[in-house]
Amino acid sequence: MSNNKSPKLSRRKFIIGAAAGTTAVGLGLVSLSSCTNKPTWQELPKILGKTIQYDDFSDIYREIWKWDKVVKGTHTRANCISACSWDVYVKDGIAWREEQNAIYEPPRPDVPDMNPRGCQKGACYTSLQLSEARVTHPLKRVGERGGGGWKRISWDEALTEIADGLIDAAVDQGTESIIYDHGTTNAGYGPETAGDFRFASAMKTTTIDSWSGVGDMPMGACQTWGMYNCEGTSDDWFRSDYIVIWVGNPVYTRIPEVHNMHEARYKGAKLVVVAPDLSPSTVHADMWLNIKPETDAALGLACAQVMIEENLIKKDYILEQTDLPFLIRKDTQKFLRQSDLQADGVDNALYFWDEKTTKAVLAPGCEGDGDDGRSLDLGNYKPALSGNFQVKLADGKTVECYTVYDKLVKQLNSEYRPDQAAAITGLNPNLIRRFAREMAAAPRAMIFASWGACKHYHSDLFQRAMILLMSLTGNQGYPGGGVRVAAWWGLDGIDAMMADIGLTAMDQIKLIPKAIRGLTPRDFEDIYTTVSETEANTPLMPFLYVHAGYKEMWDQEHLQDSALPHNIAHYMRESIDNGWVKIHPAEGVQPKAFIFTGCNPLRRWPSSQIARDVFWPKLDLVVSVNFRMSTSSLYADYFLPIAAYYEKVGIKYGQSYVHYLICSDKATEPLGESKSDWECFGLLSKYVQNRAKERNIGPVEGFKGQTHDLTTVYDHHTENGYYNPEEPDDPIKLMDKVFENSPSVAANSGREALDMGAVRIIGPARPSLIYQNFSDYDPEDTHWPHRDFVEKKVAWPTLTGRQQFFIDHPWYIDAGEDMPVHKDPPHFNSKFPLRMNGGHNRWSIHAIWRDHKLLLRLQRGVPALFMNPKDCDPRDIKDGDTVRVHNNNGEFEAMVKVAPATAPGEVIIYHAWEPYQFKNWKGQQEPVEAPWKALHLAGGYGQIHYRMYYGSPGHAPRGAPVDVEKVSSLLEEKA
Amino acid sequence: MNIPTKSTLSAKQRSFAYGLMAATFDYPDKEFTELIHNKQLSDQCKTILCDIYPALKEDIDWTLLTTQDDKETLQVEFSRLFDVGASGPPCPLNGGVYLEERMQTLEEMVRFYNYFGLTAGEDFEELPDHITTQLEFMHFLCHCEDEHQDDPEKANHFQRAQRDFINRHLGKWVPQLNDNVQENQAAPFYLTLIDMVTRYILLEKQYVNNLCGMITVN
Ligand code: SF4
Repeated sequence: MSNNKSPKLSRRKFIIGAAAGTTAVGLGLVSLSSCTNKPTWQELPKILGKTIQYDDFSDIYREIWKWDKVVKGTHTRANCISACSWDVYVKDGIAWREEQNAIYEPPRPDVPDMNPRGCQKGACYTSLQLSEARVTHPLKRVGERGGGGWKRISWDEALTEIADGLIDAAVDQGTESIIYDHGTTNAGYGPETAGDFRFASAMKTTTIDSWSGVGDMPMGACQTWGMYNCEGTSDDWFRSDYIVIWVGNPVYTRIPEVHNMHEARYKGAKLVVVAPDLSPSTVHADMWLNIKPETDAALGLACAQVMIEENLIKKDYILEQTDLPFLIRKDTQKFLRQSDLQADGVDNALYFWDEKTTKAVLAPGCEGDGDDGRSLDLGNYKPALSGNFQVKLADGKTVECYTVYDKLVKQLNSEYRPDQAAAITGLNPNLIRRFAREMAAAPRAMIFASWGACKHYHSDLFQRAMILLMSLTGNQGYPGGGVRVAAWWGLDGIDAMMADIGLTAMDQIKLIPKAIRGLTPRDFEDIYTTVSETEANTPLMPFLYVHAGYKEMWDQEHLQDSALPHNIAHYMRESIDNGWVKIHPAEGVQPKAFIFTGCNPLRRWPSSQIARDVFWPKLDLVVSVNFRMSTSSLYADYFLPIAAYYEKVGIKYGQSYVHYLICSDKATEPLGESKSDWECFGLLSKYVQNRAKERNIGPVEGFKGQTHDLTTVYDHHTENGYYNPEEPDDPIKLMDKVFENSPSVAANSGREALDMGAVRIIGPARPSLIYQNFSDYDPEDTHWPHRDFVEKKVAWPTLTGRQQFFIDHPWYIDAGEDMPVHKDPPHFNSKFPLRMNGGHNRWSIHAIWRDHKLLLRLQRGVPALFMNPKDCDPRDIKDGDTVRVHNNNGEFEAMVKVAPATAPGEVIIYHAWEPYQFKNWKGQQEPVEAPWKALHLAGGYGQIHYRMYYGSPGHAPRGAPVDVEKVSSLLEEKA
Repeated sequence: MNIPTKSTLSAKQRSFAYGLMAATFDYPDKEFTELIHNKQLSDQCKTILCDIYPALKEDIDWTLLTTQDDKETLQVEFSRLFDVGASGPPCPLNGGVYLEERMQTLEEMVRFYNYFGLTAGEDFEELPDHITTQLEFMHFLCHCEDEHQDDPEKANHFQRAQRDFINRHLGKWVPQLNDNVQENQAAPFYLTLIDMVTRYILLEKQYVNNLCGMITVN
């Protein structure tokens, strides 16, 4: 209560001071007076004595509550698949409340505006960042991991000890033995994320590519399009006439956006939901297809059969935009290739039959068309969609060819007529026909398929079928049309997040001739692949398989695709040997240190008990960088406390749903001793460099066995001192660089962007590792994906240059998935009768909000699962009972909510309960084996390859086979 | 024990007692541990608090406020109880956590502090509802009362503020904190420390209620 700078030392005087009566000394509170000559605390009572009148506590409420400031904030690393600007109200160094901003202008007058945007999680973030789960001091574990023993240490001690641990790991096994994971809360576009990226890059750590690892990789889109960004602004949904929500629940998961779907109904659009359960999105639908879980591909293919048989398809679109007219050799069941026709021909030049010249002609736009596969322009060609064609090969033989379309039709007619699909999907054949006819008749139809559409074993097949429907009906690439999952805004200046962008000078020179002609989507994909290979990126599932003890589980017979001739171990071997999947550190090298931020592996990874019991013991050092205590953090060795969202500046990742990039200003100082991510990771690099110098550490083994000098880590991180992460304005300096180099947005500097809060997108940006929407941006229009392909006839980045439905990769042929098909997942015949599904929920995004009291009040307050009465009654389960969910792999206990809206046979437990919220900390992932497809390890074929953030096996937790038994009733619990 | 009904207790002493109790919640670093080991903390608490409320002499086993547990043991226990745990520590030292609406409690704290010309400010170490901040505010109010001992009417404003602050805050949640440390089988040092603070606060509650009369606190 004085100007004393050290309350702690002042406080001690009370203990040391001899007796009562010692003059009071200054403590944590300070004088409020803003006059230049601030009274000291000791003087204050006298001043107050003249003015203070206090009768009772109501007096304190008579004063008008005035905000010290209002700043623009958001939730930068929440990974909520959205971006909303909030006014954050600050007084006395505390952010008290947030209010949705209504600052978004509609691009055109005939679509709904986006005001306001937000969700209930964002609306209570002020309280979350002050919650008791927040950790505000660096901590060091005492006793065994997970034992709950912690002590505070200083930043200096923590950073020194962690730096030494990282150096020890690098000396022992190389820098790739240090594993860095930014996990599911993912990345922003600015300093909130750049610090950890720079640290990982400067250290040459292994970086876990969790994108597909958490089951967010639309592999069916990768297989069909060679890309997966497929979304625009959510006001574009309003322009649709037929909206199908298919494997998704946007009422829960797209809260700021979903109104566009509902408003579209007011102008006549029809809203259809395909879901096994009467999901909260279904209550707003005009039609509900209550499909059996995991049979979605069969429904899609049956619709395709109806559309083709009833000639409801858009033939011109199909001929230009798909591989359906491409020729397949009947003898080999593979594409007809130039290497078949010419001795010196290439494998990636493919053909269709030209009806004008009655010849097989090289398809323009395919990978090997001799013109870099640039354009789909058919010129004078008139491809045949169907027919049998004789083609003479280079060896003189003549082979018969037919088209992909014919192959498709044959398959659809033999296996996917509506009555056949009805037996698989449980839907009435007439309903399937009606659905197909309506979709085909709609001027514009779209399929909203969320990330949930990536989390089933055969999700890729669902997606291939969905894309097929949108192609047959000519919807992909048009407003209000096509399959939609998600997309991000490009931002050219985002390169500033990294110290270097990865392309060598030689790579850049090589690009010049292509750049002069204009880079194609395929060129960009080549660039991303090159960039990805300059760092030790490794996809999560293969990493867990090789390094974390998951091999034993995933090699089990009951988790294999019975259509494949080999066990997954075989495909893993082949993929590693071929260099298709990237494993870092290499097999045989031990992971030694694990540093994670913004993720919660022991909650999120499947069967996380394996990670805890097998992977964790391998590690000499586990560091959690977080603002709150998570289950994984409880098993760490060190905890570094990070500033919460309103305590630092940042740029929220640019979800394309909104025509703005959302920025977050710093409202208050970081609580306690916490620091921004930018500063924390900068300091880590600094300490590694300093300790390496002090310890005379010579070059260590770095990326792919190259040597790496740890004494230059900080220099690399800071671009030789250009940045100084300890400077308070340093993050804004980084934002300056981002915005100065981003002509696609309306702000020119970091400060300007922070003041705006929502920065208008004003033009297109070049693609990046995460952004490949390939649509020009028009500020006066809604935005939708894939315009370049249909409007400019740019070739798709696939082998065929088209939306490709036939994949003649040998593994795909072996698996019977060279064409889109329906297949039962491995657990189809499991003896465990129920299937566990889930999804994001209304009250949390990830675990960050899961145990927040305000939100728990809106639900059961404890982990709860939903079951149909038909499954509850035979098990004598009543609403509120506690049940044990189990299979041979694991178990957990949770409360049951008896819900007729849940499909019979299904157990729904929504996402992200912390394991520590369950009995014995056994979380909902314990029984989840989450097998994944060996096919996703394939490579060496056009669009079938891996690079960072593209094309690798996903976490497939849906449909886990379980049984449920009652443990106790609610009444017993109460007793 | 008979709690005085008139303003007979020394406000200066009481102010000091609050400052002293706030100091006991420091994280046990080397120097602080030393003060525990060498009995200084225990002796000082006993001397000061029992001087004000003699009954505390018997109610509290003062020997337990001295322990030879080493620094790390004390730190781990402090962190286990007050710093960190699944969904937060089991015995948070922030009063708002125990009351209905945390943000509302925080607001009331700030209103109280502001009304008396104070703020926790941008660089505060703890939030306004932290036990240290709250005890220091009581320390301040008592100090103000003492400064106006020659003018009972003015002093009474500060007494009334003490009454409300204790009834609405410290007196409400510190007993809950006490329950929590017992449930979580805290080490004797912290059990005794929290018990001491709880007992003191409850005696103070009676005292300030006697002085100013109870008011409806909700
Ligand atoms: S959707 Fe995301 S950005 Fe929007 S309010 Fe919710 S948490 Fe914040």
